[in-house]
Amino acid sequence: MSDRRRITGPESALPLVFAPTPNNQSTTKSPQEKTNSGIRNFFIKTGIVSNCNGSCFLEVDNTTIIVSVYGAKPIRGSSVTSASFSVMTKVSNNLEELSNFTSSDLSHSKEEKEEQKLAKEDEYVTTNQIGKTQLSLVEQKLSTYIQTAFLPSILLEKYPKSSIEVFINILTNDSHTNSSLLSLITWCANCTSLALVDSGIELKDMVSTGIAKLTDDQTVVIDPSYSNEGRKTVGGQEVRAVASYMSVTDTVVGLMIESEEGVNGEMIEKVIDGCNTMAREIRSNMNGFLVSTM
Amino acid sequence: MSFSVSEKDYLYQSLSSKTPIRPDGRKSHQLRGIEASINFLPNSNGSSRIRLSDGSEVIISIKSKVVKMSTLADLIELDLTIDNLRDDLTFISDWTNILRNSLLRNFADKFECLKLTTRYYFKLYVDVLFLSSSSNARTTKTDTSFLQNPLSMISFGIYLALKSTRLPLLISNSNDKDIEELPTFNDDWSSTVLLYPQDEDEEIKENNTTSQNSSSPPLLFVLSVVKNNLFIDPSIEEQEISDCGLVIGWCSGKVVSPIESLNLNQSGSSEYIKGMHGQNIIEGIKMIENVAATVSKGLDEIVKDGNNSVFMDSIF
Amino acid sequence: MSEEFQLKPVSFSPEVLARIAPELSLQRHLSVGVRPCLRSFQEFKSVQINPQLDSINRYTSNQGISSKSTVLGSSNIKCGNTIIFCTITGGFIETLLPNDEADENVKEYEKIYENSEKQENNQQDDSLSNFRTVYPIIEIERGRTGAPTDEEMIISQTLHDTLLNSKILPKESLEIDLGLKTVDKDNNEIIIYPNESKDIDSSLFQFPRKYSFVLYASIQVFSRSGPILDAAWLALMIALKSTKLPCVYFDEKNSNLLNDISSLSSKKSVKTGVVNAKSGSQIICDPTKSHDLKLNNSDLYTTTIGLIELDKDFSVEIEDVENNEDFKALSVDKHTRNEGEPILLCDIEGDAEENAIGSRVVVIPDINTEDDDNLVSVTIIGGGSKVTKQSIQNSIGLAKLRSKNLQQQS
Repeated sequence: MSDRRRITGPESALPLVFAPTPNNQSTTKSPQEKTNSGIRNFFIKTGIVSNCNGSCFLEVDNTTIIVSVYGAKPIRGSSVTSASFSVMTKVSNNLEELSNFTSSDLSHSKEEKEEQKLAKEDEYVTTNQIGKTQLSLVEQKLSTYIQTAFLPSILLEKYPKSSIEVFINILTNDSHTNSSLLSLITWCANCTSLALVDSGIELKDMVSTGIAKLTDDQTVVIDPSYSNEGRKTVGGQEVRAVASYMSVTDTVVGLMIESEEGVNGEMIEKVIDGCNTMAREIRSNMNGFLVSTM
Repeated sequence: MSFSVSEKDYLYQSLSSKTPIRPDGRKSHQLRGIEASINFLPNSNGSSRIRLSDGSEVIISIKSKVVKMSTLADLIELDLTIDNLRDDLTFISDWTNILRNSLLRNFADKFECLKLTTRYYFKLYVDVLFLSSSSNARTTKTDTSFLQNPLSMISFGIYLALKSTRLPLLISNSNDKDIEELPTFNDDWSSTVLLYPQDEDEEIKENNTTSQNSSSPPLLFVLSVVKNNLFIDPSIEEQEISDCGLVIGWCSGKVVSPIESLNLNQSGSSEYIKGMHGQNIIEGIKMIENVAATVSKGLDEIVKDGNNSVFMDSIF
Repeated sequence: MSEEFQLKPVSFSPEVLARIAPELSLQRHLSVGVRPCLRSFQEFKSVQINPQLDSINRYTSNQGISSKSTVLGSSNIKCGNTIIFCTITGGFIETLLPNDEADENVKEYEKIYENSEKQENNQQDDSLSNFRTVYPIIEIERGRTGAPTDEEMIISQTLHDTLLNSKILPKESLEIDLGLKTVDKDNNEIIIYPNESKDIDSSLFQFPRKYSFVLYASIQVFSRSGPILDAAWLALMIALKSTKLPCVYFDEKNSNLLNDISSLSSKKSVKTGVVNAKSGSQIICDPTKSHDLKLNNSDLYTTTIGLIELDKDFSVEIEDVENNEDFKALSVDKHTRNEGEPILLCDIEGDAEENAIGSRVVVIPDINTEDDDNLVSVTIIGGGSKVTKQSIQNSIGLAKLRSKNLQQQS
């Protein structure tokens, strides 16, 4: 059944297939030389969307995110004692689909590996998700993470019979440095936090989120940016983690750990500590920003 | 329908005390007993059924199909149906994602088994049906207030089903790089190959635990955090009042991703959701490290026993 | 009951009045020569054209070639508070070669295409079939999900039709001159294109089928405060100007593997996909080479002017307008306007104006021609307000002025 509400173009159109960029030609220079210990510079601005209750714009490297908060708005015909809270994410529909599962990492004969790599790299055919109704996998994961992480922070019982809706729009995502899903989650969460503050909805505490990875040699890298070079080392014993904190109660409200191999408690402890360090730094940054905008 | 304030308060008090008391009297690292059987669906390559004593039931069927190579991530498809709930509910696709990702991530060696020729692969379709004990009490297709988190149970089911999966034997040439040829199979069911080969020799198994374990499907464990206490396999009452939920994967003797926080509270009220401390996560991982091996051993027993329905209780 | 019953006049603060009686509040504003948004009647919103989103354009990224992006062109504009992002992506479509047996579905498509054009433009020049348009999807962020709203549908359709009818995008611009990926003497893979290699036998480039691009536009609008057709059109035009089309080559070697990939992607076009996937799979975009999209006339701008009549009953008399410096400047319009003529409002903003404005005039002037009176289109929507000859002329004048300003800006 064709979509009659949208102008979707001819049915028989094929998506563009781009050949993989030859390595020597992808002159990837990291926009900002990054040392292992720091967090990349980021730009924030609140209140840029006028027809919502609170909004925030965040830019880090080439990733740009707009979060708008709608609510608390009344829901008709419902008599719940606390507000419902929902998160919708939209990755601009022509950005490549992020995959947190990298098929090229899997062990196969060399020849085959190359073949698969080709298949993998060719994945970025145009995704014309025109008229799509369901969220993509990435959008889904992002929404769920943010919803889980922010549920404890919002005083939902102050807003009976109403709903609070968060809309996350990822306008651009940097395909050079951090196409990783975890990194995207981190920045979306931090942006959401400021948008919620901007909306004036009552919060127990601001949530701040950090990302860290534990490399082969057991060193913790905060806010890792995946340059082309870095991506090749993925697949070793590497643990990547995102954790969201409410610093008043010092509790973890959101957590996502990824690794190709098995992990143990010690590794988790290290990587979570890294996240905590970054989250605290982000928090003090956000505090400074909020004070300066008062 | 939900718990009253005093009921919740009582539960919270008893679970958060120093010597916690779970409503069903379990120890904090004790799972609920399950009744399981495998291979009961004659039409599928592998199947399993798990029942809890409260009447919840999970049925898994695994079917295979020959596909042309695309990307490895496409080789497993998972479909999750819960009671008669609408399938576009967000948490259902969340759970599907978690289950599917854990399978894909920890299936690495197994993709080799799915490989038929240089061009063709087996594709596995994992169909999951979860029937919850509260389905009768439900009035609408979106009412989820009394749905317990089934991730753990489903992962056990998938474990059993995958271990019992048999794939037909290829009789055509496995190298078709130069000449394209459709793969053909032996049509005798008795000559099919197990996806996860069973070790016949008990002793080898004992000595060689690691290598045996390396070919196990992943398991997922759901933990509920209440103050400083952790509870494995939380019941619906425990989910309702937990500070935070945690899902931890386990495969081949190791804790693996996903390690994620989880919203256990399906009824939508957030008064008890508080988050957890960093230490809880570490403790949770330790708990899983202790318990998981026993669970997988227990499940392996069921596979060995074949078609008989086995009631596992004392094992956990 | 000794208390005396009295009828007191209720008075509201301006904010409250604007909420409970938007019409009245608007009329009162207008009668003193200012709009609720504090602009004067014929003052346009400021337009800021930001540099395109460098990081996402595949071929113009400032960090070399963006290896994963599929975006061919983009724009980012700010119009008052409203922010608009527009991205252009593409697809292939087979086109008919003369006297060639083409796929059924291609014929079908061509037929539909021609038909629809004919129906729309019965009276017009047949040459419209030599022009193409883009397929826009517009999304106006307003905290809801689900099916597109009426406004989104109408604007998409308007953009689609306007672009076609203004003959900006000639058919030839989207046609693909296929190159060929082959192996040279030293067994190196090379890609040759017909236009850059004169010495190569042109018979090499005889391909069984001919392909064209189709362009899709995705437009996202934040902070909508009034009708957004003008801004959306502007964003689309700027994005189209920045669009670079990839060079495309035919790959003989890689056919097998790519067959698999395109069979995956052909899920969308279920009925027709199978046939096309086979032939289309060897058509590959060059990762680095591209050329500009050629447009006929990229200096067309739509301008929407709202017409509203002043209601005498609602007006406020300010006694000493003459003496008040602030009002003097604002009430110029009021005095130059003839009695009975509707007021012209530029860049409609706010719910009150949107609801109260009965008629809108949408003008697209052609400012590139010598003859100053050339217009591409004039549309009058609605009939709620009186539309006079004078007001149409004034609207056209305003539209020309604005177009010239925008031309200078971009």
